[in-house]
Amino acid sequence: MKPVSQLLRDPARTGIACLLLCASFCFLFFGFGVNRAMRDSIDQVQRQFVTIALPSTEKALLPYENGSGQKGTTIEQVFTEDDWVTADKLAQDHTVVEGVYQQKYISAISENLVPLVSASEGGRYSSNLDYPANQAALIIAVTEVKESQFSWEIVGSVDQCVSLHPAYEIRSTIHISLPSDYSPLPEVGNHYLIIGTYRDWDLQLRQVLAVRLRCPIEEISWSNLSSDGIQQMKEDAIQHGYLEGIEDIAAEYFSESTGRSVTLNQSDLDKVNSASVSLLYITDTKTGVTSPAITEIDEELSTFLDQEENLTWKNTIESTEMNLHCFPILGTDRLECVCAFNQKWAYIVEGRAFLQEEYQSGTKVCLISETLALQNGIHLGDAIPLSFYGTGDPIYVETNSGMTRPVAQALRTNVPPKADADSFQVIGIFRQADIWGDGYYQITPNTIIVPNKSLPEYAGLPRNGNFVTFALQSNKVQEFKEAASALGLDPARFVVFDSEIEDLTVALEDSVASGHRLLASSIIAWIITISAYFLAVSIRQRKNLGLMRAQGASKRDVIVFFLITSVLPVVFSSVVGAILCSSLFKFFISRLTGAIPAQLVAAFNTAFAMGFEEDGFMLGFLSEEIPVAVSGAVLCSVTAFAVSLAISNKSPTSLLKGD
Amino acid sequence: MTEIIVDRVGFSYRSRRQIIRAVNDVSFRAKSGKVYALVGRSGSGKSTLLSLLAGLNKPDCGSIMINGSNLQSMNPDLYRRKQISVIYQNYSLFPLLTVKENLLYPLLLNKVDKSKALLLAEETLRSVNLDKSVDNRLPSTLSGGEQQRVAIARAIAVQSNIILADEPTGNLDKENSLLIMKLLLELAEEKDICIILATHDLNLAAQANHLFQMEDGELSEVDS
Repeated sequence: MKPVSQLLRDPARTGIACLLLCASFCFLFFGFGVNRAMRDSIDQVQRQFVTIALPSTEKALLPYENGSGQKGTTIEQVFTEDDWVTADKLAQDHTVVEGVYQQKYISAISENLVPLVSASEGGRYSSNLDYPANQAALIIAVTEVKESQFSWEIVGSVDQCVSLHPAYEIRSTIHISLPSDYSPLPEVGNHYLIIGTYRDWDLQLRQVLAVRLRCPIEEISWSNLSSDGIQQMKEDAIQHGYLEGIEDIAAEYFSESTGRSVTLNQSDLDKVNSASVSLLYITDTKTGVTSPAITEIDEELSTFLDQEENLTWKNTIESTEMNLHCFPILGTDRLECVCAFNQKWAYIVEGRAFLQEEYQSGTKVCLISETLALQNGIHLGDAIPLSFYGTGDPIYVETNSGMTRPVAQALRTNVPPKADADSFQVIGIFRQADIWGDGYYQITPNTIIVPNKSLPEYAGLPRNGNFVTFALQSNKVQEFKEAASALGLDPARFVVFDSEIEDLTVALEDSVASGHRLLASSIIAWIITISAYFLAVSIRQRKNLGLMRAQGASKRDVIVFFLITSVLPVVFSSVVGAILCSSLFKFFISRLTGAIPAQLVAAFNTAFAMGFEEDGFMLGFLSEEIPVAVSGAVLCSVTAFAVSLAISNKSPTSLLKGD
Repeated sequence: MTEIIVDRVGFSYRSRRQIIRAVNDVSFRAKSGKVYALVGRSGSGKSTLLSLLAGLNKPDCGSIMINGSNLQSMNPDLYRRKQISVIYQNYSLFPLLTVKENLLYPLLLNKVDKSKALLLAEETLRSVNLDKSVDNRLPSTLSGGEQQRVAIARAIAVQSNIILADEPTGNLDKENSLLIMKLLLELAEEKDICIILATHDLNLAAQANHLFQMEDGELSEVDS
């Protein structure tokens, strides 16, 4: 008598039993899955909503005294070396500090990519922010040489653009400065090769005018400049006694759209259609002499550069061109602790953040900004080559808020040897709320973010600004400040960013409790169903088993028969129940998220998405469900064995009678 | 040649509250080729005595010798498989096995070759006047008489030496009862099987070769 065929011969009963078992398993897995997802959501929330404290990047004028007793003042960071000693002690206190995260810094060349610059019409242009992509190499024809108080001012027109970021406009007039003792001075009419930092004065002036006139920059046109009424304006001012600054006025700009006007002086007018180049200082490798990067050139550039004595110039031009492919690289072990991401000034709009295993293994993956991706036609999943170079000390762009915004180190005369570029896969694209905004702890849109362990060992470990983050235990801001004070460290040396975790605590606890209640309900329902099933099966099978015994079947035959006929539907139903749960889970997610506070939804969905969409719900929570399935299988098998043993030990007579 | 010797056998049903002496100091002999009828009212101990003879229960005292061997020292599973067959009042067929499969089961338990078993099953079913059309039907689709004949066929197929029948006609009408009784009598004579049947029907019992009366657990022979 084959047990399986016995089951199939009573399809109605077997089907109903399987259906009930299936439903109970489905509910059981659902309970475990939701409970696990709740716990993962909490982990996600605690990762995303981290309260962080960063060392202040503020600078102050501090007194100093050198070894010979000479006193003076110097601009130093308020977070001193002594403060670091104390901060290191604070880092060891895990009651208020959950962890200290060191972000790494290095520069990288990616020859296929061009960095962004702030020199766009609608943007907020600042040449410093574009460093080192603001380096230019030009050949100019000198039109004017004039002496000013401390320097020589050279004016020229561009003959040939050797190297300039494509987003910059080549202005008709170029201004450079040379030291007052520079010799020999450039001569009018001669041609000179110059290398330095390009500043678009014309764009700067138009942006200032647009702000003051409150009109779009596109409306600024130099044809609206007029000096017609200036003389009359000056006479009126003199008449009324307004003398200050009136003599300098050279022109007026009137905006027809806003009805406002702005006066410009001669130095402003000099900026129209102009740019400046702050010359680099380069050291000739043969002579060892350091001088401004300007040299007369009266031949083709290629011929000039081919000459052996001009090797330094050749290297400098090569470096200048390579600066157009340099990027600052920020390494991290926890993206949520990088201030820009912690405060949602930057947030991932496509793809995902790093996974824990990627941090741990140093997988070569990266996050790039949306604007950088758009400019370079990069998509999610693309691989970008990065050749690392430079030292660990970050170059900072000074903005109005102080030292901030690490940028790539500039190449001078030393293009690094071409090493094998590491290929980094783009796994996420982030958007910045204000890509060129001014503020502490910002990052440029050219910043490429990678796991720390994917960087070479020589990557720098700067201890300031964005690079060291103290992650605090939840709701421990006040305790942190008190602990800092107790150690003698002024808490004001830190800038603390709280992330609403306190508001979320209650919601978190409610969510967890709901998850536990669901789990308990599912376990109880499953136990009841399984118990009822085995009771029903044993009652139904008693007579059959008694008959088997009466006809001479051994106890072993009876036990095996009962085990197979009772456990097989359970196994089958558990598999179907798990598959059904997996299929239905997504259907339930939207209903579940409706009951969850808005701030938690993102974390909740991330947890579920990671568990469901990546590997499917089954696999995503497999580590939870396998023990459940195995425990259930063991429990059912033991129960079935115990029941079958009890039955086989009864006399066939009593079984046949139904006792 | 089969011989059953029951010597001063006793059996009690024990529960928490009481002990019921179902079989009390019963002794008798039975031989192959004969039909022995046990009569008595319900609760007299007939079925209990049969269950002791079938090895389904163990006597509290006394002995049951089957062909010179003590039943208590035998392997009960082997004994039930090879030496004895039981026919029950409620037929006790496997409800989800076809008629043929019900006959095959004990044969396969006895490790009879499957093709041989099939042949034997079919022959046995024909020998109890069951048509071929019933072979692949489930017992629930047969009449009471047909089901009992299947039970008898099962007992015959196993070729055991002893058949115990507990109220085999209890659920049948008069006509079928007579048919079954006739079958059993023919079986005993033709196959030299020892048949012991329990019944409360005196008319049927009167057709047996030997008649025993069971009352309050005690057995006495009645002149037939």
